[in-house]
Amino acid sequence: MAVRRRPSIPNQTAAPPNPDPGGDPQPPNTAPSLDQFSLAPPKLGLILSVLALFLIPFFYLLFVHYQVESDLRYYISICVALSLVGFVFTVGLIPVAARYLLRRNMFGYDINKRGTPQGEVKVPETLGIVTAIVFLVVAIVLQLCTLTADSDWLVEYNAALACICFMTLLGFDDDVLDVPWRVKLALPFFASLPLMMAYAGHTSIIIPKPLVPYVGLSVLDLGVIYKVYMILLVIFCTNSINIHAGLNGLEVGQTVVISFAVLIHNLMQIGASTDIDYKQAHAFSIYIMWPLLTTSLGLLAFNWYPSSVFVGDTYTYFAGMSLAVVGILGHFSETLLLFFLPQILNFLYSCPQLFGFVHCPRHRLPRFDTQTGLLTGTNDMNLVNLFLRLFGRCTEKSLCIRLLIFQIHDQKDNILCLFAKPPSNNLCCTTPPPSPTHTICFSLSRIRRVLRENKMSSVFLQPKVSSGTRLAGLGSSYHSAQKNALSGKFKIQPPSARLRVYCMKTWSPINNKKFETLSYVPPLSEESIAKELDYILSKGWVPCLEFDEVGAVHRTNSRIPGYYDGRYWTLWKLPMFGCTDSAQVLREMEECKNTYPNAYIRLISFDSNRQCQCMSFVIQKPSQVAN
Amino acid sequence: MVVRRRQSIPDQTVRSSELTPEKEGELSLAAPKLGLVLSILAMFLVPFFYFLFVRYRMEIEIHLRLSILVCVAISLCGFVASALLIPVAARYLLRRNLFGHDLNKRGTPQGATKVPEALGIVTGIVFLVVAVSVQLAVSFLQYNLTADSDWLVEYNAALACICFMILLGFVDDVLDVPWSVKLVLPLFAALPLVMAYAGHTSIVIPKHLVPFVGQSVLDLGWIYKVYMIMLVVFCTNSINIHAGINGLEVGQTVVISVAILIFNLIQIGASTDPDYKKAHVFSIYIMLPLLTTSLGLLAFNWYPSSIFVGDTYTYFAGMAMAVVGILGHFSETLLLFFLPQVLNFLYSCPQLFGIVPCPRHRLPRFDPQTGLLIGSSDMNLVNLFLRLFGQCTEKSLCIRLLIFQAFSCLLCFGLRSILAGWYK
Repeated sequence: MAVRRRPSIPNQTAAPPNPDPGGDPQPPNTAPSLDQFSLAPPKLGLILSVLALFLIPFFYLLFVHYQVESDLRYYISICVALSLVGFVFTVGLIPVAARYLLRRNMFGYDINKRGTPQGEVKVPETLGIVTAIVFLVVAIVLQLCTLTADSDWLVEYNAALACICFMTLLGFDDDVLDVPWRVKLALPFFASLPLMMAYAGHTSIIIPKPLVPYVGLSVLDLGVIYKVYMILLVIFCTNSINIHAGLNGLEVGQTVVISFAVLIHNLMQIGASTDIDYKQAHAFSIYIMWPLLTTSLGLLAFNWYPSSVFVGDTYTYFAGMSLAVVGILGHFSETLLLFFLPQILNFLYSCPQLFGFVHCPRHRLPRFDTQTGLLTGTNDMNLVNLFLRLFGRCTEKSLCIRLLIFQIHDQKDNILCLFAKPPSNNLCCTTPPPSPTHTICFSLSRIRRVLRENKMSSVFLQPKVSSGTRLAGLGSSYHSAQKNALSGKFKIQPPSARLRVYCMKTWSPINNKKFETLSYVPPLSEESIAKELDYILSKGWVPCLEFDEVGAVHRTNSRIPGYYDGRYWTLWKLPMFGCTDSAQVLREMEECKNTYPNAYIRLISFDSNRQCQCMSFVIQKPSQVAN
Repeated sequence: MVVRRRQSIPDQTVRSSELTPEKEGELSLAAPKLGLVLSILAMFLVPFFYFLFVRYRMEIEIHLRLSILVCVAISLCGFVASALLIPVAARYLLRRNLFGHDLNKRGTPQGATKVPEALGIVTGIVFLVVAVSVQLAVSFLQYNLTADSDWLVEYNAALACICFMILLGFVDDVLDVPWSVKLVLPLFAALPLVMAYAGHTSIVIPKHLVPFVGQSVLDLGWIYKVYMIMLVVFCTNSINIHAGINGLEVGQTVVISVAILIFNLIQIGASTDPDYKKAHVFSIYIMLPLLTTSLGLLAFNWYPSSIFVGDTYTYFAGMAMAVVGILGHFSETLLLFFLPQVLNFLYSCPQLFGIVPCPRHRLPRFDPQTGLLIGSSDMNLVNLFLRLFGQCTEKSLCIRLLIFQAFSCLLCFGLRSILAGWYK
C-alpha cells in the first residue's frame, strides 16, 4: 500500500526528457526506454530452494505419510504440475509486462532506499497483474482437468473464479486510477457476494462447553449472521495484506508463507479424514492454493530484496481474496484467521491511525538512514515499525525476514494449537476424526493424534492440556507412551465431529408406530423434507408419494399364509418422472395432505438405473397419532 | 480498436501545456445526452412490458414476472449509477493520462480536446455489481436463498467469464497488449463457460438435408464445444473490429441486446418447457444490466463523444452476449443478430490476415471544410457504407450503420418464423 512514491502526473523531473515532441510519439519514445531498461535477473536460486523445501514435505505427506485415494493423489499431482508451469510462465512474463508498464509510466521509487543510487531507479509497478492473470489461466485449466461437468464443486469453483477475478480487476483499477479508499472498502463487499451465494455449508458454531449453561444451546445456528461474518472475513483478508506491507518482498512473502501453511493444513485434513465431502473441500482448497503459491513465488523472484518490481494493490487484493475464498469454501475460515494472526495484530495495532484517532501520514514507513543503510522505526503504529522499535535497527532485508519468520512461527503454532485444542475451547467444528491406521512418523502428527483422541474420549489428559498450553513443549516420549495406551483403549472411531457434541434423543415409540429410519427422529420440518428432496433429485431418483389409512399390515381380508393387507400403499398420482424441482414435489405433498388429512403419507424414491427403491420416509401421520 | 490516436508517453509539448491551468477547468465533461438515451430506454421498455404483461400474460408465471421486474428495477439503478460515475471516472482516467484524440474530427477544435478513454471499465464494474445484486435478489425471490446449483453454476461461470474479459480488456487499454495475446486469452476466458455448459451438443439437420446426412439429429460432441469457444472469440473481437465512429460500439451493443431481450421474452411466452424458460430468463438477467449500463455509457459516447469506451467495453459487451447465447442455448440466433459484424469480419479478412496491407487505423477520411466523412479503400463496413451511400457526417453514418443492425435483427426474427417450419 505504502511502499512507493508514485508520480501520478509525471512531472518534469520524474520522466527524463524525451527527444521527440510531437508527431506520433510511440516509436521514438519507447526505443530509448526499452534499451535502458533491463530488469535485474530473478533470484531463482532462492525461489527454487524455497519451492524445493516445500515440495519435499508436501509430497512426503501426500505419498508416504497419508493414505490418500489414488485418484485424489493423481489430481493433486496434476495440479502441482500445472502450477509449476504457471511458475515458469510468471517468471517469463514479468520482464515483458514490466516493459509495458514502464512504457505507460506505471512505476514508483523505492522510498526505503531514498538517498542511494537504488532509490533513483524507476521500479515498474503493478506486476501483480501478471501473477493474477497467470493464476486465473492456471486455475481455469485446472478446472478443466480436475472437475467433471456435473460436479457439485463447479458452483464453488466458478464462484471462486468470479470473486478472485473481480477483486483483481478492482485492484488493477485501483493501481491505475488511485481510487479513493471508501470505494476500496465497498467494492470487495460486492465481490464477495457470489461467494456467499455459493457457500452451501453449515452456518452454525459450537458453543464452548463452559458457556453452554449461559447460552442454553450447544450448537448455535447463526444463519444470516454467519454470512455477514463471511463477508467481513473477505473484506478483512483483502485489506489486511494490503496494510501489512511496505518492505521489499513482504506482501508476497507473507502470502507464500500463508498459502504454504494452508496447503499443509489441507493435506493433513485430507489424510486424517474419512468423510468424502470434507476431503473434497480441502482438495478444492489445494487446487486454488497451489497456483497461488507458485505464481506468487514467480513474483517473489523479482520482488525479493532488492526489488526490481513492485506488486501493487492488484497483488495484495488478489492474494487476500484467494485466501479468503479457500477459507470460506473449504470450510476452515476459523483456521484461516489463526494463520492471519500477524495481519490481525497489525490491523488492531493500526486501528488508532486508520480510524483517525492518531494522525496518519500518507506512508507509514520506517526511516531510512543513507549512511548505514539501516532502517529506524518511526512512531507509526504498524507491525513493521513495532519490530524495528522492539528488536532494534536492521536492514530492510533482515527486517522482512524477521517478519516472515514471525509469520512462519505463528503458522507452526497455529497448526499445533489447532490440533491440540481441548474440547473446552473448540470453536472449530470442522476438525475431523483421526484414522488410527497410519504409522506415526513425526512429532506434529503424533501430538495431534494423541490429543485428538483425548479430545474424543474427553476423559484422558484433559486437565493437563488446558486451553493455552504450549504443546510444542510436551515431551515426545510421554506422547508415545500415551499413544500406545490410547490406541489400545479406543479402537472405535468417533462417528463425526458433529455427533460428538450433539446427540439427538430418539422419538418416543409409545403410542406411535415405527416406520422406516427417519421415524425415530422428530417429525421432519418442511425445510428438512425439502433438503431430502434436493438430495433425491440430485441423485436423479424419481420421487413418488404414497398414502394409507392404516399404515401397518393387517390380515382382514384373508388368513392364508403369506397374505397381508396394507403391504402396498396407494399411489398418489403417478411417480414424478423427470421432476427436477423440489418445489413441485412439495406442492404435490401439500395437495396430498389436504386431500387425506387422516392418512399416513410417505415419500419414496426410485432409482431407475438400479431398479429399486432407494429412500422412503413418512411425511405425515394422522393427527391423533402425531399428538 | 482503432478509433483514437493514443498518447502513450506524454511528450514535452502536451505536458507543458497541461501543467497547471487546464487541470481542473477542462475536466468537466459535456452534459450526457440523457434525452436521447431515455427515449431509447422508453422505446425499449414499452414493447418489453407489453410482451411481459399483455401479450404473454398467461404464459409467464407470476414468480418469473416478479423476478424480471426486480431485475429491471436493479438494472435501472445500474443505469443511474453508470451515468453518475462516468464523469468521476473520466477525471481519474485523464489524471493517469488515459486519453485519446478524436481522429474523425482532426483539424477542428473538437479534434484537439483530450477525450478520456477506457470508460468501459465503469460500465463493466457497474454491470458486475448489478449482476451480482440480481443474482442475490433472484435467488432470494425464487429459491429462498438456498443454493440451486444448476442455476448458480451457470450464473457464476458467466460472471467469471465476463469479469475475466473486462480485466483483460482493461489491461489491454492500459498496456497495449500485442494482438496475438489478445486472441489467446479469450480462449481461456471461455473455458469456465464450456465447463458450465450442460446443454445439448447436437444440431438439428434441416429437413431437406436429412436424406443426405442420414440422421435428423447430429451429435457433435466436443466439436460443439470447440464451436462455442470459437463463438466467444468471434463475439469478443467482432464488436472490437466493427468500430471507429462515435457511438458505434455502444450503439450496436444496445441494438443487439434489445433484440435479444425481446427474443427471450417471446421464447419464454411461446414455450411450455420449464428448462427452456429458465435458460431464457437467465439470458434476461444478464442482458438487462448490459443494456442499461450500456445506455448510461451511450449518453456520453454518442456523437459528439465526450468519452471513449476502449477495448474494455467492446470485449466486455461481446463476452456478455456470447455468454448468454451459449448458456441460453440460442447461439445460432445470436449469430443472426451479429450479421453486420459477421459481414464486417468477412469483408475485413483480407486485411486482417495480411493479404492486403492493413494500416494502423482503418478509418474514413475526414474533411474539415465540409465536416463530412469520405470513404477510404480500407475493407470494412464503415468505409463500404460511405462508398455505397456517399459522404455523410459521422453522426448520420453511425445512425445508418445502427439501422442496418436493427434491420438484420428484424430479419432474424422474420427468418426464424419463416424457417421454423421448414428447418425443424
